[in-house]
Amino acid sequence: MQLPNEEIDISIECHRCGEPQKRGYNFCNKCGAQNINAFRRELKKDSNYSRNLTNLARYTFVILALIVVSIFTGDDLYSLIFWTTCFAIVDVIFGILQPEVWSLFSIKNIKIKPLLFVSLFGILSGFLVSYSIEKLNLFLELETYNSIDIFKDLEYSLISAIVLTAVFPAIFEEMAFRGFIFNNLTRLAGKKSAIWGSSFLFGLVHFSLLSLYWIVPFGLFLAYFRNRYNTIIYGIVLHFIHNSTVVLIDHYELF
Amino acid sequence: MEQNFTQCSKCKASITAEDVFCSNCGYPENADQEEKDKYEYRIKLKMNVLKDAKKKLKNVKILLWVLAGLHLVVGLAFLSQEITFYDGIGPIIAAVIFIACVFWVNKQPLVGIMAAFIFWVLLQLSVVLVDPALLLSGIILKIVFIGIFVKGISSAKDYKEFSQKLRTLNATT
Ligand SMILES: [Zn+2]
Repeated sequence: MQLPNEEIDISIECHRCGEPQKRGYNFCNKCGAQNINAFRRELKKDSNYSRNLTNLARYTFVILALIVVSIFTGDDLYSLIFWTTCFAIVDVIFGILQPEVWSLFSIKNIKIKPLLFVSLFGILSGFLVSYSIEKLNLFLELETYNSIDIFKDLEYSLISAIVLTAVFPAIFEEMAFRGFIFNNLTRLAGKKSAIWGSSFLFGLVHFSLLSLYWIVPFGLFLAYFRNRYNTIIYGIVLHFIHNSTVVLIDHYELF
Repeated sequence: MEQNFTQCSKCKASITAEDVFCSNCGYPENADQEEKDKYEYRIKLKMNVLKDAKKKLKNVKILLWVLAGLHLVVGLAFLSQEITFYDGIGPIIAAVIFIACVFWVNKQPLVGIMAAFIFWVLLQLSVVLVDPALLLSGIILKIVFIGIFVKGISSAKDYKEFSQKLRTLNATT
C-alpha cells in the first residue's frame, strides 16, 4: 500500500531512519523522530528570544539608570546639558549595536498630509497639556513649573530652551521609545504590546504619576504613527512641535 | 488501492494504519505500550513546566494585588487625614496602575510583568527624593519582590511556549 504520490516529497526524508516524509511533517511516521528543520527553527526562535530580551533589558536599564540619576542630581542648566548629551551618546552607541534603528529615520516615504496632521496635532496637544497642567496644579495647590525658568539668564534664552527641551528630546526620546524599545518589544511580544509597552514606559520615565494622564495617550499616538508608517520622523516632528508649543506658551506667559 | 485512514487519538490528524507515529504530533498510535508510556512521560514533563510557569505568574499577580491594596490604604488614609489632596492621590494612582498591570499580565505575561516591575522599581527609587535611607527599609521584603518579578519574567516564555505546544497536542491541563 502506498500513499498517493503527490503527498510524498521524496527529497524530504527523516534524518534518523531515512523514511520519505510528507512535506511539512513534524514527526517521522516510522521512527517518531522530530523533523530536524522544525527542531532547528525552534532552537533559532529560542536564541532570538533571549537575544531580544537581553537587548531590551540592557537598553531599558541604561536609560532608566541615566534618567533616575539625572532627576536626582539637580535641575540646573548645566545638568540638563550634561544629561541630554549622555542620553544622545547612549542612543548613538546602541544605534551602532542595533543598526536597524537608523532605517526609522528614512525620509523617503514622508508625505505632506500626515506631516501637516502631526504638526497641527502637536500645536493642539501643546496647548491642551499646558492649559490642563496649569488648571490641575491650581486645583491641587501645587507649585507651577515653568519650562523656561532655567534658561532665563541666557542671551538666547528662547532658542536654547527650544534646542534643549524640544529638539534633543524629540530626536533621542523617539529613537529610544519608538526605536529600540518598540523594535525589541515587537519581536518579543508583537505590535500591540510594543505600542502599549513603549507608551507606558515613556510615561513612567517622566517621573510624575500625575502627568501620566496625558503622557501615556501622547505616547500611544506616537507609537501608532511609528507602527503605521514605519518611521519615527512623524513622531519627531510631533514631539518637537508639542514641546516647542509648551516652551512658547511659557515664554509668552499665555496661561 | 484501499487506504485505511484513521484519526490520531491525540490530535485528530488523519493517519494510516501504516503510520507507527502520527506525523503531526508524534503520538505513537500504532507502536507498543512502551513507546506510548514514553510519549505520556514527555507530555507530563511539558505539563509540569507549564504548571510551574503558571504558579510563578500567579505569584506575580498576587504580589500586584497586595501592592495595589497597600497603596490604596495609604492613599485613603492620607485623604481622610486631609493633609493635602495631592498626598493622597499619588498612592491611589499607583494602586490603579498595579491593578491594570494584573490584567496586562493575563493578556500578555511578559510585557505586563516587565511594566509592573519597572513601575515598582521607579516607585521605590522615588523615595530617594524624600530620604535615601528609606530605600533600605524593608530590604528583605524588597529582595523577595524582585525575585517574584524576575521569576515571572523568565516564566512568561515557558508559559506561552508550553501552553501552545500542549494545545497543539490536544493535551491541555
Ligand atoms: Zn497526532
